[in-house]
Amino acid sequence: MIGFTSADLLGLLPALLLVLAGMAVLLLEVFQRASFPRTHLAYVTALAALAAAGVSYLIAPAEPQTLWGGMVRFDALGCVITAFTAVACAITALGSTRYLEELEIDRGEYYALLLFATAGMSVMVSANDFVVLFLGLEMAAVAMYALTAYQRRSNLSSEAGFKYFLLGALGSALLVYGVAFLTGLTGSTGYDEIGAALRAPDAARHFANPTGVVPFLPLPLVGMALIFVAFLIKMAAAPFHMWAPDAYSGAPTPTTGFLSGAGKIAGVAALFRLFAGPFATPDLSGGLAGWTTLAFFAAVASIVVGNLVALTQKRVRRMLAWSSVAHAGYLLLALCALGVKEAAAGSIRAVILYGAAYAIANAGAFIVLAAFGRDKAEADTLDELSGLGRKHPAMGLALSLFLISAAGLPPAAGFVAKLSLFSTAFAAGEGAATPAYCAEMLQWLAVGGLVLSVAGGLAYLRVIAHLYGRDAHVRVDYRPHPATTLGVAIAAVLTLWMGLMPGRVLVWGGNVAKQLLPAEVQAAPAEVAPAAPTEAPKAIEVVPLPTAELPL
Amino acid sequence: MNTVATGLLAPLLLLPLAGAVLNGAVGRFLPKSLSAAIGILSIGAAFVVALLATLQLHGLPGAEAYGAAALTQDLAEWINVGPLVASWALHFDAVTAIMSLVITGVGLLIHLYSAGYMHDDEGLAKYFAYLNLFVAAMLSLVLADNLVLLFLGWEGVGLVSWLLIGFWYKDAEKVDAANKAFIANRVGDLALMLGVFLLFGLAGTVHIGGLRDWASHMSPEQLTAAGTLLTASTLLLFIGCTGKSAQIPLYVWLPDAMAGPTPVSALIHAATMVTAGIYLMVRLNFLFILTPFTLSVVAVIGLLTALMAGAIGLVQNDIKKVLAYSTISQLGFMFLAAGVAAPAAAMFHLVTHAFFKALLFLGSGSVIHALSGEQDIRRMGGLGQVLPSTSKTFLIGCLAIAGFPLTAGFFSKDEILWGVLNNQQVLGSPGLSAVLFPLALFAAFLTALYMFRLYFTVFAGEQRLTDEAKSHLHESPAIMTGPLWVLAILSLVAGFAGLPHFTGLHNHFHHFIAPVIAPTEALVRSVYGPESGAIWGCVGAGTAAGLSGMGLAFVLWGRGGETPARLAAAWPRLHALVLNKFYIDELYALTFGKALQVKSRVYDLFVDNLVIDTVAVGGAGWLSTFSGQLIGRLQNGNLQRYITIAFIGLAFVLFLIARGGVTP
Amino acid sequence: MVDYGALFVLFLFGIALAGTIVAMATLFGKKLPNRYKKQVYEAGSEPLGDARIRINVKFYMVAISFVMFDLETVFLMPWAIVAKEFGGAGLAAAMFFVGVLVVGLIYEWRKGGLEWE
Repeated sequence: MIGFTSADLLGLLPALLLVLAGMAVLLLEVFQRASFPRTHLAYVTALAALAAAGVSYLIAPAEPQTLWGGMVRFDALGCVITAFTAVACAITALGSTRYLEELEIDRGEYYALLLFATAGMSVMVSANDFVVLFLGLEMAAVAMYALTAYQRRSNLSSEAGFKYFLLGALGSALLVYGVAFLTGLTGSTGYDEIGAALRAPDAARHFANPTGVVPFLPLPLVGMALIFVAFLIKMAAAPFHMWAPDAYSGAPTPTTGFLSGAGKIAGVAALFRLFAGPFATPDLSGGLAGWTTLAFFAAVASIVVGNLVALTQKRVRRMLAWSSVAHAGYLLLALCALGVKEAAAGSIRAVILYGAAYAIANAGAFIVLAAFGRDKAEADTLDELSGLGRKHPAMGLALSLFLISAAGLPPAAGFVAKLSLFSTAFAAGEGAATPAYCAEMLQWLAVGGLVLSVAGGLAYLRVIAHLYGRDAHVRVDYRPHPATTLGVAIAAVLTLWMGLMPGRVLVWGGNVAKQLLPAEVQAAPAEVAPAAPTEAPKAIEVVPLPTAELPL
Repeated sequence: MNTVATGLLAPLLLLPLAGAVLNGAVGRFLPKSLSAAIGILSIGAAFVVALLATLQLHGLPGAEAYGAAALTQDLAEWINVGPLVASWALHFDAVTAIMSLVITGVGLLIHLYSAGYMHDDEGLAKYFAYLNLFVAAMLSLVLADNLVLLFLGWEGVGLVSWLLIGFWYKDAEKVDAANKAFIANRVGDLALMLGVFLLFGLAGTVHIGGLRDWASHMSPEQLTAAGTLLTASTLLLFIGCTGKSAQIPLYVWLPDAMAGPTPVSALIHAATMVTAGIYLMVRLNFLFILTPFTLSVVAVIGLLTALMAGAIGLVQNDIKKVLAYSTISQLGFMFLAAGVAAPAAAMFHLVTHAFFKALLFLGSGSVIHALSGEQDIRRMGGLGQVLPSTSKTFLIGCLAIAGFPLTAGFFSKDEILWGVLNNQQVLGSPGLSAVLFPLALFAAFLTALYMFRLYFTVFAGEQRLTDEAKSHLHESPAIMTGPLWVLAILSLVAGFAGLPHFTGLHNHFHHFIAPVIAPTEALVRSVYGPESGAIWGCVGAGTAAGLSGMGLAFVLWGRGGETPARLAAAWPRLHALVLNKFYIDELYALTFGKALQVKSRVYDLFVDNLVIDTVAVGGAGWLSTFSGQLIGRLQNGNLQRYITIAFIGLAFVLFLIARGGVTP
Repeated sequence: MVDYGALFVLFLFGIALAGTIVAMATLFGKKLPNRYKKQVYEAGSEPLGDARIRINVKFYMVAISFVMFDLETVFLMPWAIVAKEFGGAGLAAAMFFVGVLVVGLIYEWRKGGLEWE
């Protein structure tokens, strides 16, 4: 590769914007008196992040393009995920002002790190080459380690950052290890080349066991599995979730919302790109590595562990941390469905909506929690939140909305998201090409996940009950910072919008699916069915499906 | 299917919502009278719109044909995920018309009454905002043309109910009552959601019209194939109904829900929200008719609830609790009707019950208002002269609910009894029906008995007031008695809308909703032919049950000022007989009733912990405390362990690959 | 393998040269040992003992700055060799890279990272 074109730059424009803004924030920070409050930096950050989101929306290409000599894929997936992570970044930045002042860590680096992390996520989801993927992943991860440990004087925060770093490093190591297998076998780090090599007709013979060292382990599968596990660690999916509760409850509160929400959806988006691309068979039948099974086990473990433990938690942040494990499980549920041709497009639509809803509502929930810390302590136990809804109706209502969204109840975004997710998983179980063992377990997983999500919902509802119950413990004189109010408002409006009018986001998801999936899957007859979303569906004329064929 | 697009439905839904938003946003800056006016006017306007829509519906051609004539309005797309299509689309047919008129009509009266009742409350604007929001949610429930939108309304009314039960949130007990109601409802909602999902899996649509087509075009083979799952889905739907409509086993929240303001009890916990379950049964009657087993369950649960709640109502001493149990009991009657494939009767009773139960609640509110908050009927008595309007209207309400001839309750209850007698073979096991009818009669008898016990204890005899209550004793203002009289008149005459067929007169009510319940009607008719002469016996028996209940109540409590002690002394044998006959009653008094009186732990332990936590939450609560803590114990903060577990996970993944389990 | 022959010779030559110098110094050099000179690391680090000693964080600052600018050289060197072929685009990319580092340097300087005390 020699040189680059303006198209190359355009494709990475959002990430560039974020990086430049981050550098600008750093410079602004060092040329200001230490005593000067950094609130304006929050606005700068939010503005830059929203601009990046807007740019991603505007430049989203109609056809996927490969840029930077094949290293970067510029398509709807990257744009949509960048847009939503950037919005989450803006919300987090706006919600951090008062919190940082209270804890006396009000420095500009915080905002710069937020921007760098977002840029890293953007690069990560746009990667079309393992080197770029690793670059983006580490860019995001290193910034997030620093953010987690940002409250330097707090032992808890340092411990959180350290644990996050060690497990994150383990994840990175596994990723590189896995990539090493694939690159060693195929001679390339590019997604396209690796995919082509893995799918070559003689691949099975070629890759089955070239060394004979480990006779029972097919090496390409080992490489893919290591990469998959690396992402599971980064996403905090069970059983690789152990670091998450500690890290999430030790990190500065607003950051936690960003890490657990935006970080997770960027990870799952990168996984989707991998498993719909290089790691997929042309018709996605169970995937080349049968990763549906792996995703299935991880999803089950995450949903069960996350929801059940969340119920027993007494502290709200820890409860949210645990339930973020469950959310990772739901996202993986969509990944299971991706392996079924009939449900592939649906799973992508669902994961986009679910990810967007989760990232936004989660960021919102944590900044409300952050806003109600008092006197250097977090508002964390249920008692400390008691009466919030009564004393501060707007904030209480917003927090309730975010929790309702997380619980998957109408009218918040989480409801439609969960609905589309579960119906996709259910549909995946009915796919004609679905292997029999997948079919039943997917449907059971869908039903079981639904039941567990209700159990998990109780954990959220308990918080809401406290918000509106009993006597107020929240300090009376509190007035939220205008920036926080703005951030909460953005999150709330988006959560409601996606809940009541999810059509637009689903259309984006449809675009992503169209650009991401191989042409063979596009042509699958099952995917022709959904009506063009712009038409108002004449629901009265719904043609009932023949029941006899349903393997219920 | 004859559907006509109309523009009337969106205003119907949005008017109350606008009122709620207005009062919620700026209500606290407005003078109280203005907030009240906003609330009342928005509901009044909605009532007018509902009337207009009903008239338009009535004028539609083809209402006679199979398939309901209906008005529809599509607002926006909502969910469009593969086969799952649910829009913001409204559907207005006969059943919706009746529900909308009841919701907005009774709602209007109760809004008016509330303006007087809540006049001194600081949160008046908030109160009206909630009340309007409730009406909007309830309307969206009945106007929904698909089950997802219906579920939204279903959740919405639950939310507002929670807000209003806990309206006086500074009282921890009321907050607990609100939370209890919410949790019990959530349990039902889970079942409803699963039911809807299962139905979607079977029929491939959540659109009610689509479901109806699906159900009506199913061949016998298809029906056999879908049978078990269809039964499961209707059962799940019914469990959802038991939550919202306070039936066994999820009825427990309704008595506690009386912690809310009395007009709220009248509107939400008597006239409208709790009837959502009945509405759902009628709306989906084409599904329930396909599953005889579910119908039997519905009928049995309904009747058991009616009997049990009636029995408990007999021993309660809190005026609102008596009415609450009465509501549960009457809802049981409606489910009985729905269970014996008489949806018209269920719907008719729903309407008349809305009138007289709202009347009774508002009357009790008037009494409580007059006595400065006293709710214990043992400290009432002899209020007849002091509260002339209240006592007269209350008497009318009691007569109506007891089924005194030619009152509204007389017609609706007789129609249910007739349904039990006539449609009994619809039930899964015909032997069951032989038991149902006499028990239903007994429940009707109980109704009259406990209602007149209440009436006589409160309004007849000598005054047993506390001095404090005595000093403020006054009849309520006209804005409160006005709605009482309107409802009283409705309780007297509403029955004539549904004159039974055997009188030879036109049954307007039945005729009006016939298209909606046509699938059920067709089946019942095809099996059993026209009504027989046995109906006169049925009417006679029903009337006798009601009258004997009244008579017994008069004998026991109505003979001027006898105290319970003197009464027991004067009629020792009869008193003992009643007590023995109601052996079940004593049992309830010991477990539930008594426990309720003292708000005891037994109740919480037994029902809350055992039923709700353990059984109803599907063991999730139990599972979580054990497995959750077990997993939590792994989470000891030790980094080495975290990494160990991660590596065990990795090893498991590699193991899966090695044994080839991942390749399909 | 022919191509690598020269490299192999260079390798051998390097070893021989270094070996010769060390051997000559050992044989002919004047030795004045004292306590400090006998230590393994003349910089003063203890080769034996508890590894968990506190090291002033300032060393890390210096080390990080060093690694940063060291890597800058590593990246710029290959570019410099092919700068002509890369042309304007290559120059722009390299300048962006340097620019980023300059911002980092400014940040470090203003934050006091370059001062020992």
